[in-house]
Amino acid sequence: METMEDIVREVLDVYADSAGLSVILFEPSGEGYLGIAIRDPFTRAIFERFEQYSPTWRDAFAAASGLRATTVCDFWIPGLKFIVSPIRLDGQPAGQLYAGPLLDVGGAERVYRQLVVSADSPVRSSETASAVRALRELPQDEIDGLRDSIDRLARIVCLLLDGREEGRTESAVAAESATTMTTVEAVLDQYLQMDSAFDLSGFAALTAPGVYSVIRSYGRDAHKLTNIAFKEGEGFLGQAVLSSTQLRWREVVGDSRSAQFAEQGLPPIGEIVCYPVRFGNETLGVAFGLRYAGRTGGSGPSPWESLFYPVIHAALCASILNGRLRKQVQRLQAVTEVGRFLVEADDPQRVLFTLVDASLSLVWTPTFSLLVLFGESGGKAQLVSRGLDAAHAQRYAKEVASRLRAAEGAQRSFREGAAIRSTPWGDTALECVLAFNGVLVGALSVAVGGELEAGECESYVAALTMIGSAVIHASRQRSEQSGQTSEIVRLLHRMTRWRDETLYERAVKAGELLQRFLPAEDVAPREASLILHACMLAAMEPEELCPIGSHYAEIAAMLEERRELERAISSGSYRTDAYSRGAELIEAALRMADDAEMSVDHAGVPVDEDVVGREETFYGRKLRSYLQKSRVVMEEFLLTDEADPQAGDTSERDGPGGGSDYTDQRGIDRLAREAGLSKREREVLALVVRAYSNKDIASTLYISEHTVKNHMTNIFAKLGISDRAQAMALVFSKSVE
Amino acid sequence: MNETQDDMSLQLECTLFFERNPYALETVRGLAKKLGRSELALEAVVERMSRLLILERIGEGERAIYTYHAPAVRQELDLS
Repeated sequence: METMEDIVREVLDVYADSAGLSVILFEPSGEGYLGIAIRDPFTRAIFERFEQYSPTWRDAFAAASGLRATTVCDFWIPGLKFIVSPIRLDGQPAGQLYAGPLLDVGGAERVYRQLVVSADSPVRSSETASAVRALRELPQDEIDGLRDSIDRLARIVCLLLDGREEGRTESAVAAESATTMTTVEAVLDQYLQMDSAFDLSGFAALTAPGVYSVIRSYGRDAHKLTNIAFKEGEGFLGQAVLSSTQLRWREVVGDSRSAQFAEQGLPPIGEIVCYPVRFGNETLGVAFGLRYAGRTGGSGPSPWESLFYPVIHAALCASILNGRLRKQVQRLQAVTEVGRFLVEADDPQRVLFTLVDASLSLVWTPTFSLLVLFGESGGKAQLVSRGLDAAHAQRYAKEVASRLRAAEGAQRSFREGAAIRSTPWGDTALECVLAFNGVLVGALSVAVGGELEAGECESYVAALTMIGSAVIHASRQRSEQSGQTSEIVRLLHRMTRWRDETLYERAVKAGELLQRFLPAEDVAPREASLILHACMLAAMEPEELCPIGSHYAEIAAMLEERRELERAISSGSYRTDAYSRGAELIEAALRMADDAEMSVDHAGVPVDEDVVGREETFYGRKLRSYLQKSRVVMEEFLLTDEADPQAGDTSERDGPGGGSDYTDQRGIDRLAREAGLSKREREVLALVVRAYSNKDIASTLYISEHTVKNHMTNIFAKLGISDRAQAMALVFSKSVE
Repeated sequence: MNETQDDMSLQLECTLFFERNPYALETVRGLAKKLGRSELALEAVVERMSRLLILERIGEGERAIYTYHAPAVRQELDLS
């Protein structure tokens, strides 16, 4: 492919041929030139001895460096003129464009005399003098016309050189992309305006799948082409967009394919030239030129035709890439915003609605959108649809489900992505599988106009469904966990009603021990939850646990392992590495909960090692060790003094945090009395010094976290402190006073 | 690309507004103020959303009010 510099040189050549002038594009420094097209003997004579004349060029270049607009300048000798146009990129000089030489009327003799006679002439030589003799004089209006043409040429060169630059920063590209289409249109404008070979010319761009509209037209009847739209294959222009090469039709008067022009009231068309503009396999538009029938003169190929195609192609490529990038960024930002909303949405139904509605915003020609969400048990599905009646939606959903279930049966792992499918009634749809970690959740199908549209929109719909899959999966997990928790609560309730209540109490005490130990052991939240649930259900028979669902398998396995461990300990065949952490911890916690001393004070553990003796497991020892250390630490903070007559009245022992575990706390009671803490504030403080979090305090005292925070604020204010550490220190100091 | 494709981001923005506020009743002017967008651009978008039945139009002309219309939902479809 030609580089932009090649195209610039070609532009200069074609313009030089067309205008009969020499055109030189100098580098910004003036030391050399980027392109040169010599068409007159004077300039040829100068450039054949460029070394000799280069100081003179440099002087002239320096003199013209302050120019801001295209100007006709005397060059070296009064009367010898060049059109000089400054080339600036981003406000910085990028070169100078020279076109000439020109002689105004009566200038030839004057210039010749100067060249031959004046000893000061910088280019005095017989060669240059004879070359000047060959120049023709031009009237002022022609010189003005050439100046305007050079001005337009300079603007084209600017645009081309600007597009050539590489290594620009992303922000610069982003800033330019906003005006890229204007840039392409400007190039088109310049070319089509300069080309007088056609009576009417223009450019039609792809505006919808398979549909093109004339967006630019030039010539006397240009206004009649405004808003002409045509489909692929329709008329001359429609046929041209299907071609990959330039097409020319001559003597087409009466040809029915020119009806699209006749309908607009244009004179009969004699000749049509079309230049399809393609990017990869995609046609972006078609530039065209029309010559009316019976036109005299000016017929034949335009001088611009040979370079029109590469220039427009290069400019459009740059434009399309930048424009698409900008639009992609905009749309992905919008999709990201939708994703944020989906993640934050509390209502699962709203998530499904948003997926369906947003998908309709991501394709060009939406007619329907259907979301099929498979039930967890299989066989049932939820449908959310727009643009489809119930019968069509159900028929399509069953077809999608059958296909995906078959693929699932073939053990194919589902990945995010979109595929083009035909609906049962023959429409085209973009179908995205809703899957998370390879697990099928459902599918989203949205109608598209065809493969081109599907290809353009695929990535956005796929991104939306990917976010949707994750959100639906998370929502289902929450729902499943919530269901399991409810089921466990129900089972425990049943146990207390129908079975030995002591079993329930034992499980609760073991659970409390583990609840303290598991965070200290850095057990992952999911495993901790599993261990706690299994501990609470340790007294249940396996067949009673069936309603817990998918969680049951893990809980049941853990409980079965724990029973084996119990048997192994009894028979003396226990091995340290034979059982899971969960099974060992449950067994250890249940044994400690059985202990008489433990049942009185959870913080304490039997000091006499013989109580447990050789039967203790690996994690049993760890749990015991942790609780012993914990007890020592707590005793240092909360010195128990049951004999203290000021330890608070008995009524304070009834509520949570006010029972025997908490009330015999001399330090806290003294502090509460001295600072005037309320009963609830004292309870909160008691839990604060036990390193409970706000959430734990809230659940222990059956109040909201917000209320806990209010109590904390009041406690801090009354005690004159600002954080929990100070509160603990204060309690400790009161305890040891 | 064409105007429809240019409006896609705006349509997504508009969709999100009504998903966040499913009970909103808005004129094009009100919507333009809330989204900080031009009325002209929004007119085409809400019109398209009305055609897709995402929005329900009440009234005509400048005073037309648009409100969200929930999609069709079918629970527990037997796939067998």
